[in-house]
Amino acid sequence: MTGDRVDVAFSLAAVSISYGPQLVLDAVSMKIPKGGITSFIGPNGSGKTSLLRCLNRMNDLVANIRVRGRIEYQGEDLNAPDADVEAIRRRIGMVFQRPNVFPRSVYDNIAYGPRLRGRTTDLDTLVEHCLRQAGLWAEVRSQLSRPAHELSGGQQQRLVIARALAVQSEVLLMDEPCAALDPAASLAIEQLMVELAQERTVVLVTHDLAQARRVSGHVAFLQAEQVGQEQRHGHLVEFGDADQVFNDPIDERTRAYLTSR
Amino acid sequence: MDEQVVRTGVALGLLLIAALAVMTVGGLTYRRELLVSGLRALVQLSLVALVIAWIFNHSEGAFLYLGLMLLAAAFTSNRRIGGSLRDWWYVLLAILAGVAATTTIVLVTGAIDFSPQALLPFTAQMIGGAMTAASLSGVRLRDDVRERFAEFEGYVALGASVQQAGREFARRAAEQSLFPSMDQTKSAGLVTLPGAFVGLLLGGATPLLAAQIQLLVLIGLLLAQSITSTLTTRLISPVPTILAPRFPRAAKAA
Repeated sequence: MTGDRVDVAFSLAAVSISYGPQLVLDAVSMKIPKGGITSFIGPNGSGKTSLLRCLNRMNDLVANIRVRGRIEYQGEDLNAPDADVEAIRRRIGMVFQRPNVFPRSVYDNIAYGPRLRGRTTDLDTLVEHCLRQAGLWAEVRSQLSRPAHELSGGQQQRLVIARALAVQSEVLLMDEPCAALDPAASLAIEQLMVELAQERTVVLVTHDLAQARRVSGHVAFLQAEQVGQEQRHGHLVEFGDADQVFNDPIDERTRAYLTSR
Repeated sequence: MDEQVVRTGVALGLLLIAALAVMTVGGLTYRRELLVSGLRALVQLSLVALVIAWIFNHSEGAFLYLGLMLLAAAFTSNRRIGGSLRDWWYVLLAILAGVAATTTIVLVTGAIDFSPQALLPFTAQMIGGAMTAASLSGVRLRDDVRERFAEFEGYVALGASVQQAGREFARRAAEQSLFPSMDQTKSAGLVTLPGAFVGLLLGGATPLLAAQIQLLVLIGLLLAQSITSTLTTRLISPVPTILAPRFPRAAKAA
């Protein structure tokens, strides 16, 4: 790595998240590199998804949530008072655990984002381009006007990815994108992630350690534990190069988690 | 006149006692509530009758009365929706727009006289209908968004503002809120005799006049409610006031 600015996508400093009085994640600091796939792994309740949703301010939609600390994307404070949250979410796209296609046609699902920004021309080209990138074009080219919810689960998830590409997302945040899919569809998404990560940053939350091992450049291991008298809450145990974390973890707790699975 | 009041009082007493008796015999609970609602109606309508009688002699009072009604309608609706103070303003605006449009048309065409006797009951009906439309459409909007929150998040994740994402749910919520009125209008005269029609007949109007007034009310409501529902679902926040302070900062003058 050379200078910070060039290679770091997200820089987190002492990020804590609480829901009401309940602290769920305590003082996470890390630098997520630009490009490639960075995975958040760890047991349920360790705060992986909460942390991921801070990276494009989707947590704004959650009542009673409180996020402290500082999160920068390419040197920009995401929570600055004058931050343009809609622009942030366009640049930093999100794919959810269950494919949340819109109740419209395949075509209109992809065109939604660009139309929102007033784009009316060349939509056909854009739709085709995004579907190709998502590896879906061959399957749906003749059924662009079909309702999106009639596609298979795996196709829907690729449609959701194509939708994010249509607003030119520089980053894709993926929250267990394969959890609701069968193995074949899951593999297709995995390959797509790897392809997309060549040109953009992907941050992945996953419970599938084998998958994390296959695709990740960097890994963050989060765990919830009781510390002294405090309530049980998640924190970052270890963050580093994927090979190192998986093959030679520094922290005993990481080793214990990896071997127990 | 006094004799009529006595007769009405006797009839009301008998009706209420008979209803309570039936409930007792049938083993139905909520007798207390029945009594309370009957007595409340008695007190409220008597007071309203006195107020309106006064207004009919002091026409400037009509505006005050309608104004208060509007505020109360917006308050009631917004509470049902669970809206914030800002939403209350929007609900008020939506109701006002629906009522104003309808009332203007009936006044300009001369279908209804510009007198408290005609304007007050008509406008009050419109306010009541618009209030129902605001409540139904607003509650429906928020229910739909809550039920399909994953979809809502999908719009937001593509850069839609909360308001823009809500718009995807607004049309359906507004449509749904209009069905009761459309059904009522469709079935008018067949399944039920609507209130104004019955009232006018009892008051001695000819059936033809009663029908005219009832039609103005029913079709006026369709317009008032479609305006109110459309505006409510587009203006209010589609999600409960969320966005508690996310990143607490050092206190700073706003």
